[in-house]
Amino acid sequence: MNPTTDKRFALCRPSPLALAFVGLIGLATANATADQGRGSIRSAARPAARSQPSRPEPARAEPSRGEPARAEPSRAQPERPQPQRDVRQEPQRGPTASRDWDHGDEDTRHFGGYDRAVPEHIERGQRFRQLPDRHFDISWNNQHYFWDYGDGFYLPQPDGEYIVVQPPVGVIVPELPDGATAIAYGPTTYYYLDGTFYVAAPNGFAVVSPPAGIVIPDLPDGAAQVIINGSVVYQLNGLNFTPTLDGGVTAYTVTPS
Amino acid sequence: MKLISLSAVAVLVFAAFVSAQPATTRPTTQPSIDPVADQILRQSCEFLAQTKAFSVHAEAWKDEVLPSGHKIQVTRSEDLEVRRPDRLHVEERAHHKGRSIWYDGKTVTLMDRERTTYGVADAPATVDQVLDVLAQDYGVTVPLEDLAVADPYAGAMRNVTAGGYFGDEPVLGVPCRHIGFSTDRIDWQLWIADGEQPLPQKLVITYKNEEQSPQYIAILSKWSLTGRASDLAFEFIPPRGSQRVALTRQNERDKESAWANHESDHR
Repeated sequence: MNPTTDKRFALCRPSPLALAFVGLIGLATANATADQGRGSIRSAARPAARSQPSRPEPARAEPSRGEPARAEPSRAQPERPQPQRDVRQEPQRGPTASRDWDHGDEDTRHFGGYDRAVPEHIERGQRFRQLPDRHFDISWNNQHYFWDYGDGFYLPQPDGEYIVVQPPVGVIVPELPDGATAIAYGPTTYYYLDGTFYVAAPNGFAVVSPPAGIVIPDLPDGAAQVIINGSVVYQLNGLNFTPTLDGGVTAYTVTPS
Repeated sequence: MKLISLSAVAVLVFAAFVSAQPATTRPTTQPSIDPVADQILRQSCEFLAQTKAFSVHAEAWKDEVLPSGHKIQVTRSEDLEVRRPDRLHVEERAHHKGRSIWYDGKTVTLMDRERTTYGVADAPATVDQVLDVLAQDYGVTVPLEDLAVADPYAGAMRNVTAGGYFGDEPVLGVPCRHIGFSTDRIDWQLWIADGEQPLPQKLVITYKNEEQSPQYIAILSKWSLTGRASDLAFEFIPPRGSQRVALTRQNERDKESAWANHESDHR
């Protein structure tokens, strides 16, 4: 048994209080435009720019607890949380203005440290002998997966362990993972976390391929730096991530490699 | 006593006028501005406008209203360095974060100190113009920019519907005159040093149309009216290991959205 991985799960076990706190802070990522033009009298006379989407209220239904320290993945289906409302019908909150230069604050890179509330990060390719207590069973394309309500998506291995993989396109998760950032692109609101893009679906949130040109706030883990035409570009899973300064904040434009 | 009475009357008049105005409509009557408040502001702005170079430090607090309804406050420090008419240097710092702007009369450089990325763009000829370009083209609003413009009075009084003088109060031990003004979108207050150098010591902006009326509060200190007027202060030298990246223009973002709309129509 790997003590490191076991410790991780122990640390990640959410208490109701912790869930409430994570919910409070996680929601803060939604209000990514609350700071527009702060600190300037003149800016109040400028026309308001476009708005950013808000993050939908995540469901906080407690999942059923799996049996601890199982050698085999459980086939028992936990209680499925109720489907979420269509997030595009959520009312917008906060001001309508464009991203500001210090508005790393209000996304996951908030000055105030909102990113501290994002659950402990798991890297793709990590192997675990146990699933976290709080997990959800997902079947997709005749393959069984487990999801930990964060950015951990587990594929059972023949040896009884679980390997963390990128959620496949098409999978539907019952709720958004904590820390997902809402990004408006055309008529669609995407939700992004560590290289995975989600859109609202009837029974939750579907994993989708990103549209070319969408701008994300953070690089996914494992993105490799390359030089293309003398400029730094990051690549992962057939995608290019080109750094730009958007509203004075570093962001990454996603295009096919 | 007379001063206190006048102040009380001014507060009542100001409050009555502001409360009588619909929050989202432009008043049809002339602005109701206490001439004393106007005079205090005008003196300070004229003094500032005549100052060819200056630097100032600010500790700033801004309210954030979370979607859960909680209002929290975050803190940062800001340093502004200006040499009129065409030099500007801004440093903004918070925990783990930092943003910088250099304007040398020809180019403007934005730097994200957390990621050590920077972008450079051609710039117009004056501080006023570059502030507008940053806001309108690049989505960047410079805090305390009102101090840096050539005519701070005109910039501050744009769209003002009411103003009042609220008496004398010290700010960090500096005797100040407290004035406040209102527009359709914000209420703002200023504490201006009562002396030979009528410099702003405190600024409060209330975003009254937003949920829970969040505020921006800045305490200004370390005023230096000579400033570091050397060109070097306004020139950007890339730190070792930093990366130059493109600056995203706001209209490019709009095009992307239009493209996405087009694509979605044909799916």
